[in-house]
Amino acid sequence: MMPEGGPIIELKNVCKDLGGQRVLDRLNLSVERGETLVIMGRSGAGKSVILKHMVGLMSPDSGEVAFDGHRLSALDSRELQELRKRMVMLFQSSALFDSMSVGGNVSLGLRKHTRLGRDEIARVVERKLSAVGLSGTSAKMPAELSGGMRKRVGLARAISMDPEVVFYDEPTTGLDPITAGSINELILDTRNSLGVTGIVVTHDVASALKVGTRICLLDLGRIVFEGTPGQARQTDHPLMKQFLAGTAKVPGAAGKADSRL
Amino acid sequence: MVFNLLHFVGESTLASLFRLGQAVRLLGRVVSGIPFIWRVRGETVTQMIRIGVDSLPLVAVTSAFTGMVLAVQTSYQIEEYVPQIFIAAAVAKATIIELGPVITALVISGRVGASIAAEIGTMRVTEQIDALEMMAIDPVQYLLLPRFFAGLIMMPVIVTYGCLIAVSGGWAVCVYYLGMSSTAFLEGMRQFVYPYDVYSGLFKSLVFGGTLTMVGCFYGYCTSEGAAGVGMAATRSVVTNCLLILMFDYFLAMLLFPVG
Repeated sequence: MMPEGGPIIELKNVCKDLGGQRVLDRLNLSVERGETLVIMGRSGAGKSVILKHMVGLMSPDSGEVAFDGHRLSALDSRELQELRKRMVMLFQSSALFDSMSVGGNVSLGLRKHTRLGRDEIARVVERKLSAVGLSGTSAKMPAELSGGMRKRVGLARAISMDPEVVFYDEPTTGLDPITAGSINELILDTRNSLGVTGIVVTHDVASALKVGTRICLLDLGRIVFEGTPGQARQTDHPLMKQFLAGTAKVPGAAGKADSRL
Repeated sequence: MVFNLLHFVGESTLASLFRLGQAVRLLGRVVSGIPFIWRVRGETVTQMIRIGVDSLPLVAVTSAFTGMVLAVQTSYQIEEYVPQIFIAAAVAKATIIELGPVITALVISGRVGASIAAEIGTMRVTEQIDALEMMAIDPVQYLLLPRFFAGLIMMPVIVTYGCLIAVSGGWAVCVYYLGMSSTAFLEGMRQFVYPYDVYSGLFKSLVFGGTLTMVGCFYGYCTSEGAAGVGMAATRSVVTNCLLILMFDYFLAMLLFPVG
């Protein structure tokens, strides 16, 4: 069980340079338990970099990242592994293991970290696959699946260990609107049925407004807007308005398009 | 001009040392997992089949021709000044202590080292290694250790098999082409090939097996920059393996067969 009180994830003054360019610039962000935080921003804004800092796949150049009060930089690899049993990630590319069947992918965590028997694992795998609408696909190989199916298998693998926190890296990117809608429904179901905290990185506005309980907008390495989906719809913040309208310049404002586009 | 040259030399040296440090650290992490190899026994057996059993046909062909050419050229070099029995000794001894381990290692480094680098490199660029880490599974213990251990175990087996075929090839040439009797061939082997030669050859193959799998694992694990990076990892793995195998061969020869 999660200990009560305090944010589950906290980033304090995080700076990160990649390839000689500042990607995160004294970034402060906290994630509360049970919420679904959506981090939006343009391609290359550093959204996935934030996610990788939150899970300890990247370390900040300066600043601190804490998960449930534990500073990630102070943990050794074994302690970090223990912490990672409480979190899972749905990767942008799904990151399914090519050499394993769908069932092998979904069951890997259970095989490695639990003492469940073969039959019990098979039952859990079938239950998780059925939860994402892919019942009976256990024997298929990842190469036989479509992009949407791969995402759903990735989600089934992610929730197979009943995590506390799920990180979604661009969950709807590259999918048709109907498949993207079904992924959004699955994210909502995951929160409602398992009560997990979710962190979603996306530039899909429809998805952000649908699944998020709080939305942050990232620009030039900092959070420039933070609010509920309702507040996001009504804000006067120029970049947020641009995002919602999907235009190259601020809606209603005279002037040139953003030169960074 | 001079400053630029110094800058280039300094930068390249630092980069090489950094890479060497990374490789040694990774090797340390892999070796530290050997006592717990049973945890990844299924994957290890799979790799033993891929590295060992699947390489047997290729090793059989290369070894047979190595043995045969060795017999023909030894016969040409010594002409009629030296008794034919020495051809058998030269073929068997050179195969067991040198050509068997080295040629097999070079062939396997092209087949297995590159394939390991490409496979692990692809897993790196498609975030599969990140996914393992996120599932609290150490990719070094789960992916690298089985390949390294399988290389250590299977190389001596493949080399033994290769040497048997090479010596058989040499025997076939001696008997059917050079007109030597089988008895003379066996007598040459019995007189000049010692158990120490066999142990030395096996020790060499153990070192080469660890080297070629570790180099493949290292370049694969450190892959970046997408598909181009995967191709580069495979190429670097083959080139580095060829260099290291020949260099290690020299140092092992100095260690195992001191002169004087």
